[in-house]
Amino acid sequence: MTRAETTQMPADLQRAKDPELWKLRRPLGVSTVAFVLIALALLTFSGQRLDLHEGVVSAGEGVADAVGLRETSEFGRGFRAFFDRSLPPVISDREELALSGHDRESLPTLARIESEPRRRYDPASGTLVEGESIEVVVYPLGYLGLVFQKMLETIEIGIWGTLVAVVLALPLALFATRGFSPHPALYHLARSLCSLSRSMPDIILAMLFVLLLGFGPMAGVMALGIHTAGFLGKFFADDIENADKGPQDAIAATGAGRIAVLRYAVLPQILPQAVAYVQYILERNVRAATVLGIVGAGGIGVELKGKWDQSMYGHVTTILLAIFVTVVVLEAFAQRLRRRLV
Amino acid sequence: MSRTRDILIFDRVSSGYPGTPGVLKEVSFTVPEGQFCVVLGPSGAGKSTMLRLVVGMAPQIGGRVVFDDQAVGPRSMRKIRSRVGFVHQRFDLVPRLSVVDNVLSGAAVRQGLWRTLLKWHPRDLRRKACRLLASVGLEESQLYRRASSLSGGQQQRVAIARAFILDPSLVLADEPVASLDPETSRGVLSLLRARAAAGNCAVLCSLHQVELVREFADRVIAVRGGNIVFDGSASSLDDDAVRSLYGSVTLAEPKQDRPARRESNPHAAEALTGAAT
Repeated sequence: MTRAETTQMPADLQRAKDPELWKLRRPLGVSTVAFVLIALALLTFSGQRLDLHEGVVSAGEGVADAVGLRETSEFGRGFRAFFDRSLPPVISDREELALSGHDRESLPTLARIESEPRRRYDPASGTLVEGESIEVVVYPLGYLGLVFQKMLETIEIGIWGTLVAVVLALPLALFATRGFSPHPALYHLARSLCSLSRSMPDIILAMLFVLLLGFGPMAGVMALGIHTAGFLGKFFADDIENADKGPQDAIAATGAGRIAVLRYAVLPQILPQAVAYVQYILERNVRAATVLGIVGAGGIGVELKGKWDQSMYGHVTTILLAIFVTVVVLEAFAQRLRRRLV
Repeated sequence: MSRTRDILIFDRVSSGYPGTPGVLKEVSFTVPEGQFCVVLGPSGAGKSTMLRLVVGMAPQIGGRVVFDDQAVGPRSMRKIRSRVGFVHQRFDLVPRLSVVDNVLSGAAVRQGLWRTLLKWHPRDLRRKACRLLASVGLEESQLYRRASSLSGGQQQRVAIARAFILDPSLVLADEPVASLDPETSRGVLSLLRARAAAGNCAVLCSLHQVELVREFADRVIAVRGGNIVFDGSASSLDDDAVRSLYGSVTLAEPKQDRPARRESNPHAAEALTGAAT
């Protein structure tokens, strides 16, 4: 610093306004308070319209019931009815010995023979009545095995669906990026396609593909792939657009073409985030694949729907637990993978 | 000294942007082969625009830019870009790419589609990248480190290696040391000078530190307000010329630049201590 600068204030600093007089804004402005109040009023109105307050009341009754303040409640009855019939989870499978094709002497490992009364529908009373005793083969882990197999199929549907989504999303993303799109018309087309595919619920797509391709996993794969390609396409495109331009210009200044700019300057920048997106979509697709079976698009949903419709809630509990465990394991696995890649 | 060929000719070149016309006003000069020529001037004088015009990254309104007997234009652009190296103020390496891939990215223009997609460069080119990196003072252990894990000075050395990978006849350096401390700046500039001398490559380098100009330049072109106000040898750049350029000698202090863009850097401490290597 020169001596002139330390001893004499520059002219523009001398003219400046006294900081004691500078106007400060309130930390919490009138507009903020008004916004919060209006939002609260709107939420209250909407809650009334949707009868949410009744839900709060019956939940309160349920809590009062649970701690012994009330004799009974609608909430508590429903709760107890569900848990009485859904616990414990069923992991065994049983079938009539005569129909099983197994010989009494050479049963599979762990299987055993029990006898139980045959149940029969009685048209006169309209209920199930117990008839003569029959012999059944019980496979202690039979149902667990089936659920495991179906769960595996569900995961496979999720993985293939994600693969289809990535393959569809890559060209979509390039076309939906300003600067890399070959033509402005294609840019808007690609952006609209992304929005369109996101806006079609995967369960509706699954019903459509069941019609087109028949029942089975293929319908689920296509539904998931097309629905999530829109998400990935948009995420990738936004990331490519937001990637640092400096390195891109530097590569372009060497005379390299667009492909080289994408490969050297864009891809390394967006890769960690892209991997995170794909992992999220994979997890989401596995969760969605459990539901898609309900419309016949393969996976564990088919089993879930069947058992639910037969009111076999013990089996339903097993399936729900299997889904829960799968999602937790998948998340843990994904986190380890992410740590290694990023 | 025998008169050498001119590698770069600016013939009454004008440039400007919408809203800011007259960034350069009919500027004419020539750069002979192998010369280390510095463009000096205050911020906004048109130094960057002058450099970027050569590779078509700034709008040319009038006049002619000729590089190695070829007029700069859309048709010759790709060829010219592949024969001109560019060193940027903010290094502009790809942060998550390894050091060696950053150097090789400078040669992507010579590779076909599949080689580009696979980052698969011929063996001799990869060997050349190693030689270049060694010549700018990097070590084998740093080959596969991410560029973002290096210090600013080392990143700029990698950028110099990238600029020289295709044996350019001209290297443009836009404020190559503006984000570096004075000690590191000297190291980077002497490397740039040495590399250029080894390849008989001309350098057009914009700077704003007068003392560095006197130390490194063969020749100085000073610009102010889009006009050339001084053109001569570095030794003939006296205080009067500097004063006419900046208004005063003391204002020619290094301007405050934003720190180099960097992703989260786990080697920050190491980078600080290793900056002077």
